[in-house]
Amino acid sequence: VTAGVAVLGGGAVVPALASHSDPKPKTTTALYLNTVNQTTLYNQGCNAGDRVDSGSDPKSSEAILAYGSPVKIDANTYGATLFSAPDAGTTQIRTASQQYAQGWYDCLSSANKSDSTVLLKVAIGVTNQYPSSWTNSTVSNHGDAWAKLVDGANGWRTPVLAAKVVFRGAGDIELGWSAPGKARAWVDGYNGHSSNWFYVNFGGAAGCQTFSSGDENSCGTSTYPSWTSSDVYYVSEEVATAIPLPQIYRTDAVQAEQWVMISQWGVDHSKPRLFFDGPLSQNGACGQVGGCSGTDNTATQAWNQMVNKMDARPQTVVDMTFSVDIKWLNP
Amino acid sequence: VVESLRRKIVGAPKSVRWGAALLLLVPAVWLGVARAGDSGLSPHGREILEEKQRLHALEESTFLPPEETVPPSPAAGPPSPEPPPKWEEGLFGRERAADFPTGMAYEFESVWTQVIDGNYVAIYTGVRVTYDALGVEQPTDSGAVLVLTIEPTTWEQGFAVFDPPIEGPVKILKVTGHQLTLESASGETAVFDADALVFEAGPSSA
Repeated sequence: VTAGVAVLGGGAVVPALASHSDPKPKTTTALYLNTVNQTTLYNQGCNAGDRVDSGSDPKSSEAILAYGSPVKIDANTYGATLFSAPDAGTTQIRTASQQYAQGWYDCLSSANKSDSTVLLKVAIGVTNQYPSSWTNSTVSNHGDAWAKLVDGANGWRTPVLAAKVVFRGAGDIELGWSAPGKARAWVDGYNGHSSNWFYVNFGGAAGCQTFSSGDENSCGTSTYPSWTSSDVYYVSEEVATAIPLPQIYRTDAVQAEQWVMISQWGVDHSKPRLFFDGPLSQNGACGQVGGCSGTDNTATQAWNQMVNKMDARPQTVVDMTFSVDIKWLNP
Repeated sequence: VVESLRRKIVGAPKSVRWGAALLLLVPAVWLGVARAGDSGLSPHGREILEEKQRLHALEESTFLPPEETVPPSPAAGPPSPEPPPKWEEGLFGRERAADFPTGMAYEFESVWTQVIDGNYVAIYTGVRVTYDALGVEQPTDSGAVLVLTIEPTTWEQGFAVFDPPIEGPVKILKVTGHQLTLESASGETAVFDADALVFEAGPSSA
């Protein structure tokens, strides 16, 4: 039995006496979205609600909706690229995400609507691949706009929905997509908004140290080599509204080691361990594009890798809440 | 009061004594483990932890109003149908192509978007990548063309990947009709037919 501390759904930091023999929860589906069509998102949410009813999705779930990279539509409007589709503003993204939640609720059975353990967190996501012309100030303003988006979605909830659904932000913060200063500017912009809704960092830790190689300064990529463990920790945990939900794609467990070592870095620097919400796998997306060799962990593999690697560094042990696998939207 | 309580517990039946012991033990363990888990935190580290607690409590307070005040409501129903979004046609560079998700073994440099036979099409071109021991992308010698096709009404999506007959990363040099001329870093070119989804005759020099 390993002692630890975990942030649980009840909202308090409580000791995690249990070990990681706790079973993996059922897996929630996250989506790469290249549309903000409200009917499409409503139907996707409805499908997720149906899966809760059928028992294939967990009662308590976290759905990441990933909308591509930051853009500025006009002088007053920020948004996201929707990958290769036409850009969308934050209002369109908010409305589409709300419809996902509405569809989820509408399609739940009466029994599940009344079941107080049936809950959904919708995490509305964007990457850290900012246009090259953006200054730190512009990046920060996008973060602020994203926090307003999330705040607006939570404000839209009726009392009925507020009992079942909460919206969070989400950042696919990759170490190959921006310098650390820009990513810090975005999370500071998000965090500086008065609303204080969480965002999950569902990014990677490329280049960061593993159990056997690298050091705390070795994070980053050839494009942005200045990332350090301190930067990754900052955008994942140190910022008050940050919650890590890291990519654990690799079948050789290197990413699990890297994230546990980021957590260990926090402990070694007198900061809290990373309170992982859970691992993100991409098995669904890999299947859609014809496979990705060596980076197609199943959700179970990702979960077990995190558990095993945390157990190997006992000061980092937390009980995770969610298992999430991402894919491209497909009706 | 404590002595009176102690006497009552000592004199109580065994089951009550066990219950009392558990009541005392649980918070003691909780406190002990919480302190062990928090030990070594700097004042700043403790601030981080306390702020997280505050925000979790805040989230939960909006997430879970008292159950009895929230009876299930009838379905709001789907929104009114919208027409399919307009598909922006054109040739784009890294600003649109490079945010293809990481970890999928591709890095794209350009993307061409078009409506073909009523379907929305995006053709990404770039290179297959591998990942080194620390997870950093390393380009290979194999280029890649990924075709995304979307049915606009249902938004059903399909992916297909093609290997160019030329070596190395490829980008779209020019577009003639639905024929994409791809160029490698060494200047070799190849033509991809976006209607038939095939490469035409072998490579040539630019």
